[in-house]
Amino acid sequence: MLKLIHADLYKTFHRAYFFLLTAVVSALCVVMVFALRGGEAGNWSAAVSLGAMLLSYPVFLLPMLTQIIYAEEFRDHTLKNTMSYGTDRTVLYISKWLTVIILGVVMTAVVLAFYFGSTALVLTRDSAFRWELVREFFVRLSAACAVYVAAISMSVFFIQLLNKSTLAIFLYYGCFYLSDLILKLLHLDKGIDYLLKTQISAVAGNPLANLQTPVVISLVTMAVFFLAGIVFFRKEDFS
Amino acid sequence: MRETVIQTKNIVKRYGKFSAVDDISISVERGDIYALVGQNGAGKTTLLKLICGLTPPSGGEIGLFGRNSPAQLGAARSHMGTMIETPGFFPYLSAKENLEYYRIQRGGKVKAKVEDALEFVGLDKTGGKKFKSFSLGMKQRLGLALAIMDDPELLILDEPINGLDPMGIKEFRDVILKLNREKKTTVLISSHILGELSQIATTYGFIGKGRLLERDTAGELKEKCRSSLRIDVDNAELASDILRSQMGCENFHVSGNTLQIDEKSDSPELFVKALVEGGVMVSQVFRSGISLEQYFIKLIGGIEHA
Repeated sequence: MLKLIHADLYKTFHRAYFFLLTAVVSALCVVMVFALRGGEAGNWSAAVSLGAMLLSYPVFLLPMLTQIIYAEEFRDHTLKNTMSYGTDRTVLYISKWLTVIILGVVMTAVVLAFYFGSTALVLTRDSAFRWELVREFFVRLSAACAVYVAAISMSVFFIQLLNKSTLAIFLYYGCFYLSDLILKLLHLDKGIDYLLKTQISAVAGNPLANLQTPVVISLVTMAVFFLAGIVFFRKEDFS
Repeated sequence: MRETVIQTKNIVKRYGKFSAVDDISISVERGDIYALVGQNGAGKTTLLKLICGLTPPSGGEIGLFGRNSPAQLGAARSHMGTMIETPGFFPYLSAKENLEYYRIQRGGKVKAKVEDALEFVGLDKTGGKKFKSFSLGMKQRLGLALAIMDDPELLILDEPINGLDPMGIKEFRDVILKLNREKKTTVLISSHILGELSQIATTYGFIGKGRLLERDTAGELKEKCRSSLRIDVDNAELASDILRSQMGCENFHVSGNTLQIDEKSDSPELFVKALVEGGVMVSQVFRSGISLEQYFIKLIGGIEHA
């Protein structure tokens, strides 16, 4: 398993894509901090509050990570080289999933370093700022990670299901952002409570004491897509 | 008795109602160069994919190096080098980086194996050139480099010479023969370019419509395709006596004034000389027989009309 992850990290760090993606997102964060400067929200407490509001945005970026680790292997027909060496399919699937999570953690760490680093350097420390706000942000981020991992499982499953990265990305965005509308049209409003979109909104906005339900729903969603992905992967015909 | 490296028993692969591989049992012994011969769509690639674990079988059993449980097969496959269909590599990595990726993935300790494999296939000078800029021939060579990188005991190659120029084909053939002779590598190779296969194969498996039609050793096949000599004479009885008494030839038959000789047909002038010196008038001499290609077409024809 570690060898498979190591190889995928080697591959990822020998191309510009991941670095560019991380650099662009980090740069956008820095630009945003500079945009806050001078205004009413140009202080540390506002920047931390804004950070919590931005927790829903990484779900946009996750398909790009699943793309470079997993979807491109279908496009380039490289999985057959791994499979024909006798690699266990379940182990391979889990390793891909873990690699995406590792890259997500690396990217998050870099982006947060740029965001909070530029905040500390560019914005002023206001009287309302307390370190408790930062702690609260990281509690929300931890809860959001459960949603992100569920989103990764969903994205990997769609790639597995369709074997076409572009279609899988459309299906992912459609599922994430349009499923509430579809449920409304079908008069299944109750189902909206269980969507990942609802969970990430709850993580960003609910009081800290009420983050357990979104986390549990996200973990169940993760388990469902993860297991379904493994079932499909074990039956996959590679060429 | 040689070790059986690959053993399939009644292996089946169905896609819906269509059987791509239908009850095939083959056995490949250590040191063999086993050629799978068949038309496009005959089931060669599917059979190879089944052996390599790229597709699960619908029925039957696969054994590799004497092991056949799913867990054991995984371990057995780590002794294989494969190249199935077109070589698949990461387009944004160089040849060396691509092989390095698989070396890390396989837990290879010796970094030099990457360089050695690239040198072996003549890609050691490609530097940082990305795989996406490679010619088809270079891609095939890289596929072979990956297949041989870990000194496999068994090489499985599916249409490996597609896209290679004549020089490349010769080099490829030399590489296969070198591995087979020097490292005793067993090779299972599929192709529909029969002329090429006939220069390296020790055993042939003919496949058509997902079924194994026939298995022959190179010697058996040569025997089946052997050319014969047809000589038209004025006196078949006298000619027969001369063949028996002077040439020691028994393996012939007579039809009218024509003698059909099934041996030593590579030296027709000796027969003609003996007959003429014995007083027999020879009016025509034909060499007849079938090529490997004709033999294959005959086999396929049999199944097409079955």
